[in-house]
Amino acid sequence: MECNDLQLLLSCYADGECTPEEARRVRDHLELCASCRATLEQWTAASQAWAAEEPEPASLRPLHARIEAELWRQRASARSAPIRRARRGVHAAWGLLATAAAVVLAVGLLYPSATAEQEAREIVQIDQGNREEAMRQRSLLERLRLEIAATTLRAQAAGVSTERLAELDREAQSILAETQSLEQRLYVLQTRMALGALSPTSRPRGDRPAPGGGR
Amino acid sequence: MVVRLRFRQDRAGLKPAARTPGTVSATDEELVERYRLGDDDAFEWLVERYGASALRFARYLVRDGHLAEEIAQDAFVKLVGVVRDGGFDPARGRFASFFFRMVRHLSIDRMRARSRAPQIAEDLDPQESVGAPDLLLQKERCAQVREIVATLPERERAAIVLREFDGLSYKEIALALDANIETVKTWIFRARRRIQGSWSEAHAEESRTHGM
Repeated sequence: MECNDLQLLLSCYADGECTPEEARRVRDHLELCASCRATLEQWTAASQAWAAEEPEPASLRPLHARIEAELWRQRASARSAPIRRARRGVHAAWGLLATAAAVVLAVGLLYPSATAEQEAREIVQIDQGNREEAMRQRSLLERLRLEIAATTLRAQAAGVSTERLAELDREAQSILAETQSLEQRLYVLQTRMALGALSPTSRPRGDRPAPGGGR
Repeated sequence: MVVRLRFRQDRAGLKPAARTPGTVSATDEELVERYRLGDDDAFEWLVERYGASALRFARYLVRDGHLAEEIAQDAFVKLVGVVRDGGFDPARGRFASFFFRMVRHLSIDRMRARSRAPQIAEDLDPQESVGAPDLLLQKERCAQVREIVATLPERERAAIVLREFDGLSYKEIALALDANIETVKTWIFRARRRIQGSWSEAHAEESRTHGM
């Protein structure tokens, strides 16, 4: 085997990376070849010299400290990340709201709908009328309640007893009910007359002449 | 936490430099699993085992000691997340390959980020030369080797460092460097040949000096 052919295998042999067959071939060659033996010795000497004086760190403490500091920094950063994300979220939400408001405002100002505006105005007017009527009704009721309360106070101030006031109130309610009933009766009668339900030529029985009054 | 380093037995009796630090009996993969399950001490052991290797490997890749420290730190910090997320699968290879692959990728990222041209770094120079003449000679020889290594192509450099210092097998180096085993064999052989060439010249120079 030529030395040049063996060089790569010799390097593998030095590292214990040969197969048993390759190792046997290298050993056989080394027994016969002083040049390759010298090469192997030089590799070994250079390796030993290199390793012997290679500076090693006096202590790994600084490396430990650096690693620990960096891990702490990362953990602290990770802990504050949710807060930062929340802040970013709030800012983003406000930004979105502001944008949406700006868009609505711009659309409202630049593209008003005449129909919608008219409808809205009518709704406002109807609503205003309803509200005024309700206020009138409520105002009337309130006024009547106040009048009743004032009358009661005046009666009490005049020395009318509570029992007498209650009796007068019942009489008033009875009179009111009778009055309402009479008003309704009159309304019905007038309506029927207006409709001709009663014949204008018909006479009451009392209006007839008595029999044998001319004899 | 003090961990004594021990040397791995040379596989062919020719490589005394290859070593795996750490005396705890658990394998790397067991430590990773223990850490994944919440044992923080297991992570400390991994830093002890691989801290010096990560610093050295990164230093040879980026040729900058300060940057190498940052890369080693980043590698272990990244390892925390990867392990906790179950990102390490022992079925796909040993932890060493996985970890050095991560260190290398971080180194490449840093170099790209800085857009700095590789330099023959001052950080790869030997310590201040003091001591006996033999020791000085040994330091000089070591410096020569490191200078040669610093000029190697990136993956040849990575392959020879992982082989000589961390004792990774060719298969493990191939996994770490995203290459196949045959390519790794070639890279390591080329690196050795380059080192040998410079080594021989230095020896010849020494012989001439002593002969005068």
